[in-house]
This record gives sequence, C-alpha cells and structure tokens, in this order.
Amino acid sequence: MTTATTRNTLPTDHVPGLPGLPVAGLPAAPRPDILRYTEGPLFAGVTRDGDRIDLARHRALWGELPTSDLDGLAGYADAAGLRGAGGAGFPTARKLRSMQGRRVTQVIINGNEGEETSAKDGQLLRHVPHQVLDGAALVAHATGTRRVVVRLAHDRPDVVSAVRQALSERSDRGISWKLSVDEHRFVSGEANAVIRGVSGGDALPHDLGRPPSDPRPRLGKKGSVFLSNVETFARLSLATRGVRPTSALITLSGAVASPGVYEVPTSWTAAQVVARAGLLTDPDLVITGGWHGRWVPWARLAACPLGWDAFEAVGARWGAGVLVVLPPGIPPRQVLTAIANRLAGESAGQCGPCVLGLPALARELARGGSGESVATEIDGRGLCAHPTATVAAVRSALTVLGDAPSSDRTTGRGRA
Amino acid sequence: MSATLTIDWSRCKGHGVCLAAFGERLTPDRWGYPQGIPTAGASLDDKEITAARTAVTTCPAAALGLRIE
Repeated sequence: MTTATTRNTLPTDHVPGLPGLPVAGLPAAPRPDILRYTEGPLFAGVTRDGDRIDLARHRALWGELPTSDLDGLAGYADAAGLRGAGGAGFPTARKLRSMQGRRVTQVIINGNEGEETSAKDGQLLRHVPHQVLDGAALVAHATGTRRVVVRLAHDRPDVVSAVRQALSERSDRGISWKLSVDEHRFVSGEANAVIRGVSGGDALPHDLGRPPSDPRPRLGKKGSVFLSNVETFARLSLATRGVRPTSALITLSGAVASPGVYEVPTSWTAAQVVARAGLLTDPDLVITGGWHGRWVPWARLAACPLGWDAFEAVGARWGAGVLVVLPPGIPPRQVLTAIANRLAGESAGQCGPCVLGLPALARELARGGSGESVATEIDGRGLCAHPTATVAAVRSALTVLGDAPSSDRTTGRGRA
Repeated sequence: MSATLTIDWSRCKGHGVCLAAFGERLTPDRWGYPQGIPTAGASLDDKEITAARTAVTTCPAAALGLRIE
C-alpha cells in the first residue's frame, strides 16, 4: 500500500469549490489533478505523485508486450469485465469483436478528458504511460493497424510532455505513433468529434447516420477506427497480462480535504474513499459520473461498493469514476443552475434543439422551475449525446431535490 | 413498410418545409424544429412514405434522409 500524497493540512473551515464551476460566490476549484492514493495494479511502482514509470522500468515490472489476436484480447477483456472508462461504459470485448474482419485504419487513445471533474486519464499518462500505450499497441497488432494516435487536450501541457517523452522511448515494430493535441473543449472528447479532429477537421461531433448513443466503432471513409479511453487501454494491457481488475479509479472533488485521483480496491465503499480523502463534514449530496451524471443522496451512496453495477443499483452513475461531494452551505439548486449553464455553454453550437434548448433549460431552472417542458423537447435530439445527457442529469438532480415534475416523464421520450 | 427518417441535426435550421410536407407525423417544437420523426424501423404506409420522401427532397438544408427496409 502506498500513499501518494502529502498529508492534508487544510483548515476545516476551508470550503473547497467545484472543479471549473464557480457557484454562489464560491470560486471554481481547479481540476483535482493529483494522484493521492494508489492501492492496485494501475499505478504499480508509483510511490509519489510525479513518479514516471519509464519504459525500462515498465518492462521490468510487467515484461514484454504480450501477443494476442483479436479474439484473445476480447477474451481477456471479457474475463476482466472491462467497460469503456470514458463514461459510456460500453463492454470492451464487444467493441473488440466488432472489429473482426474489418479494415482498421487507426487506433485512437482518447485522452481528451474534457470535464474538469475528471483527472484520472491525465494521471495515468503522467505516471504509467506505457501501460496505456501497451494497451493500444495490443489492439494495433491484433487488428493489423500501423497507426496509433494519442489524442490529448492542450490545457494540460505536462500530460502532453509526459506522453511525448514516453513515445520517444518506444520502438514498437510495425507501429507508427502519433501525438495529436486539441484545443481543449468539452464536447471535443466525444468519440466522433475526436475522430474528426484527428483527421484534421474541426473537433466537433458530426453526423454518423445513427443515434449518438450507439457506441459501435466509428467507421471512417476508408475503414474502421478503434477509439477508446486512456484507462480502458491501460486496463486492457493489464487484463492481457492476467492481472485481475481489483481496483477502481476515482476522481474525487468538492467538499473533501484532499481532492484528487484515488486508485482503491473495488471492495471499498464510497464512504471509505471519501473518508480517505478527508471528509470536511457529512455531505448531503454527491454528484456521480460528472456533470452529465446522476445526483445521489450521500445516505444512499455511502455504503455502496465501487463500480458500474453497484452504482446503478442505487441510482448513481459510475461513468468515468467521478465523485463530486457538494459543498455544505451552498444551495443545491444554485449548483444545478450553474451546471446547466455550464453545459449549455459547452454546446458545440451545431444542433438547434441543443443550441436553443440548453440555455432555455438553464433559464427555467434559474427561475426555480423544473424546465421539464423544455427538457422533453431536448431529450433524444442532436448529433451527439450532450443534450440528452444534460437532460438526464438535470432530471436526476430534480428527483433527488424533490423538485421533479409530477407529470409522467415517459411521455416526452422517444422523440427525434 | 419499415422506414427510418434520419436527420442531421447540424444541418437542420428549422425551415419547417418538412412540417408542411409530412404533417401526418412531424410537428414543430417551440423553436420550429421537427418533432416526432419516425426513428429506427417505424412502420409507415405508402402515403406516409411518399410524404416522407417529399420532406427529404424539399428540405432546403438537405438535413433529412429516408431509409426503407
């Protein structure tokens, strides 16, 4: 067990803000971009925040890159129960199997990490870049692809330089690595926006002729693209090496003494992680899965083990492993309005129901309403999942706050 | 017949031409964008398919598409 942290020395009257989100006179907190604690295989060998496992060290710890065909990789992913760790949670094995018999033109490591509530991907790339790169190399070899792209946002230059350094150490036969750095933008992390950005276009969602909720591999003009999140590739590398998925990776922020990234045993409960980070006070509410996620009363989440299924069972959302503890003394409705405004501002500006709908929703919420009549006209529309996910998050908040509209919500579903 | 009307939301500018062409199914939302688009595998009769086709061909933004299976 290693503790990658300096002890918390914050005074208890210090009220931390929300990452990237000023609310009710409380300034925005920075992204909790620090590795606080690791007890698990992902950050093995890292003893302090800032330790970088270079290629020699990585090979000493984990050996050479295993060889496996696509079917074999899918088998490892299945056995480890891997799901996409970027937020959507699509089963990795299914994604791998769907590449069978396809011409794959590139493998993309999505390290965009657009929302400030998440920092785990940058932390993985900073500390254990070769585990991530190994995962992508495995997929590249299994699909017969040469080109592997690491897609990063430019707002974290230390992540960019860590990856650049890691790439300079690699000499994988048959792989051409490419680093692609995007202007940081929330929806730029959306999968088909990443693909377009990597191909030299604007990093905005575009039409794929199918719903944005469909996570099957993206088909470019000349072939398929295999895109996954940073953590997913690292976990695939570990799974292929026979390492059991015993840890959960969490970015914790809000009203805790030590916001940051925590790798903890999956057997831990939410309360154990939060206690590890230093509870400032007993929280009332927690936002799970980021601004697009679900609001949950702390009383319901505290005893919950970590992971997709356990979280779903209590109405929470695992997503990218994000937990935001709402600061005490801040009216939750103001937080909700601030989030709605923020998400409205993050619209890529392409689709009417999103461009016009999200600000209208935010205005309704600011007025104290539920915004449900607007929400039903946003739900399920638009090119990417952003507007629909925003509506889902707002509804979950209103339900938890007891402000949910009484009308039957299902009537608004299924619109295009 | 099973038909799917597809919409590229980044093209749709709410001209409303489709609403006139395919009023049997499409209604405007508060901003004038079409609602009630028959999504994956909706069952449409011949008359509706003709109307849907007109909506597709007359859309000034070329935002609509029709897939018939």
